[in-house]
Amino acid sequence: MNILKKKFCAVSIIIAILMISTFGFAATVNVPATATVTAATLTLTQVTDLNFGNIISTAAVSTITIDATAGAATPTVTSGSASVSGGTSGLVTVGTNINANVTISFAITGADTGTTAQAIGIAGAATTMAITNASISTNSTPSPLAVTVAGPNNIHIGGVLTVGASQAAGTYTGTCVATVIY
Amino acid sequence: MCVSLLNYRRLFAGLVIVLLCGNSLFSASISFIQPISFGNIIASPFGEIIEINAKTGPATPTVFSAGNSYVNGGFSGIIRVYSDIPGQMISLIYPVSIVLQASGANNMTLDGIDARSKIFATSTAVGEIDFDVGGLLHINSGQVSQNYTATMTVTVNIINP
Repeated sequence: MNILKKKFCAVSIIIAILMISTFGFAATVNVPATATVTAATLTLTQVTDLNFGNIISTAAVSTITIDATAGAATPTVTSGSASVSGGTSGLVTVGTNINANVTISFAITGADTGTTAQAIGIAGAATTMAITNASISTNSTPSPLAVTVAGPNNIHIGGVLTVGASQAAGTYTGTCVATVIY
Repeated sequence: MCVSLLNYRRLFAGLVIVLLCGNSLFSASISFIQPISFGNIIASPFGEIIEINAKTGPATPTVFSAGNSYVNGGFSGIIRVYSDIPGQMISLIYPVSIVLQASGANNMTLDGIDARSKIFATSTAVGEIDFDVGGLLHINSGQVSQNYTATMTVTVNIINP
């Protein structure tokens, strides 16, 4: 009888161990997740005016070009018989917190009436000289522009100004709006 | 006969005790070691997806989509399981997605967790096993600049050999 009990006991223990060995269990653990987001920014600063200098017009139509595609530039007479002195390309700088390609576009409006597009004019008068948005784009820093956090991110602005035959003397001004799109 | 029955009862009681103690005798400890951090993100205004792919080991965040966002810092999370018997099969079940919240209604979704995290291991010796945790963070268009947080609850299943 005792032998039988001992055998039963041994077998039971073995069975118990086998049963234990197949056990498993589950638990949960919490893991925090975090992220800090800062929105990308672009800040444009106008540094230098686009200035076509002092132009002496003639009886013929002339064009004055500032080609700033490769950097700062000065005006040159590209057609006609006008002459030019002084002047420089415009400069806008871009500050950013991100490295990215941005597209650049321009829109110029004359000051004479405040509504004359693609021209500059004498304030308070109807006299204008044409300068197209397309000519500004063609003669300015090419778009898209790769801007970087470190910079410098310069947009040099040029264009082609059409001086009429015997263009009326005066100071012609306008506003060129540069738009940078991320 | 009575004595014999008593012995059987004692034996049965012993078995039950041993069985109940089984889990504590052969178990494993589980702990969170490191949060999952997507670092400091300068986000494209058009939205972005940031990835931490920790499937094969510790990882850092990278820009997953084709945008121009910028990520600095960050790391995959770590869950540590201490296995006290070799041969334990350890599997982790991650949530399908969680939502990282900031103040107000601003939030971002984190998903793709199981595809970018370690999900299974079999212990070969007594000791620690680290499970690296990653995922995909979806930054919305115009995501507001803030700190975003959440807690991910992970289920750990352990099968003893």
